[in-house]
Amino acid sequence: MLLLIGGVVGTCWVVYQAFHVLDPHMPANTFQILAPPEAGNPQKLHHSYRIFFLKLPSIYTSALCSMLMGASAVLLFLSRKKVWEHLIVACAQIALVSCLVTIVTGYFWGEYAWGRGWNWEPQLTSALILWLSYVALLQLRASVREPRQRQTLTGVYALLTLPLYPLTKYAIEIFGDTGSHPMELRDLLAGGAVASLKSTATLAVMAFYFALLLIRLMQLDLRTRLEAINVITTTMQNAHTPVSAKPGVEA
Amino acid sequence: MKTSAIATTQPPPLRTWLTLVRREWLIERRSLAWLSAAGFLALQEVVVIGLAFSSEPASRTRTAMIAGALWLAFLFAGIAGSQRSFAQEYQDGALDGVLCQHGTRTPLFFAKVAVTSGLLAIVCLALMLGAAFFLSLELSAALLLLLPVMLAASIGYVAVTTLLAASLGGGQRLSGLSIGTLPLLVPLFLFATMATRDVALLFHERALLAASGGALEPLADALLRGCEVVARPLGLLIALDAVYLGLGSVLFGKALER
Repeated sequence: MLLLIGGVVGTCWVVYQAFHVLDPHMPANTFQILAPPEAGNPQKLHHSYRIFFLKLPSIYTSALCSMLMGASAVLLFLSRKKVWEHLIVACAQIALVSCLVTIVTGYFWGEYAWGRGWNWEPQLTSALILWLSYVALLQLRASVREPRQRQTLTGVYALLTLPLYPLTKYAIEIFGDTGSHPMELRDLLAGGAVASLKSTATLAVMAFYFALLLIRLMQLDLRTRLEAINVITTTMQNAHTPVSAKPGVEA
Repeated sequence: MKTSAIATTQPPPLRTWLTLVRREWLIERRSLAWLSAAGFLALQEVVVIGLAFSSEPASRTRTAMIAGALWLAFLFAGIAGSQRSFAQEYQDGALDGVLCQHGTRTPLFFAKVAVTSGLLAIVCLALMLGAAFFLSLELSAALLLLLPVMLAASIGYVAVTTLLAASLGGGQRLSGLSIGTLPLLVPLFLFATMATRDVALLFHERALLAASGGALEPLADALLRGCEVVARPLGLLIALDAVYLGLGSVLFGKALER
């Protein structure tokens, strides 16, 4: 609970810190909360770097969830314990949200910096593929009813998604598109007060996601226990019901 | 004494693998389920792509778009084939007999990958030839360069679909194969499309130069340049194949546990 409160307060503070500078020249009712673009000049990005205080921790969370999913899948196959399956599902759900935040904030930054939100830039596109893989995992799980088979499928799929995060991380190098992410911006994020705010933002936002992960994990565990109690109760009720009282059975 | 010695002796893995490859091939040859499903769908897709692009004049954009469309056709043809193949395997109970024998699961995975990726590469080659014929795509010499790309893409593709189909089990659940495989296979198809597009563009420009009467570089030099273009995506494809084959060899047995 402390983690959740700390995460929520920290995230609110970071969002406030990151976005309280609004340009007075911005037209009303626009969703661009950043300074107006300097067309074609990637060095004059003004306050647009502030969106990275949300974007970077979100993609770090996706990376962490991706690694946790892989590790949990290995442990699931070694021990066949339900808790590892729950951890995979919870990680996939949190990664689904954090990856979506990354894509949306990436879209806004692209809208400002390049004048076009979605431009099939390699990193943004590979993040979308990663997001689709989380959706596919949850969809596939929903289509299988047998618990054992569902567990196997979850583990296999979690391991198969492992190569997708490195692809997102190194998308720029792989597809050879180094122009889209200017080095000046990386330098700006790595130095002085900005770096300090970035570290705080990373901690706060990741704490928030981690708290969500723990809550989801507890929820899944509780649901399993409830289902088990439900099965026991039904079995006991059936055992105590006289055969003649059962529907469809004649005395 | 002699009986117990026979019972504990196991054939070497390579022999088991070869037997299983033969089994897979015989199943396929008997019914032609995979090849007929994938091949027929691929043929239909080439016709649709041909209709869509028939009125477009030859250009760089058209060539690049056809390269992407062909790999998309390959993707759907492969999924349809895998679904039919596994559905039949479970329906006939052919898998149960093999799984009774100890130590056959990993060789079975590699046997399935070997036979199915070979068949898929044939379908892919047919798709490319169909595109060269129906869409006047300049691929004749480029097909030599694209053969390893087709094979590498097929191996990765089949490794993932086989593993997922085994995890899903038989019956109606196999329809989920298309949902599950697409996000995992996008990187594979990105690299394959990159290679096909770049090679097709190289030979498209050569054809344009020939049509305008310009001085052409020797075919060997063009192929050498093509090799340089293909090397990077092919390397990435092989790396992905290695990951998927490694995962498949470890997880296939677990996926078949009931």
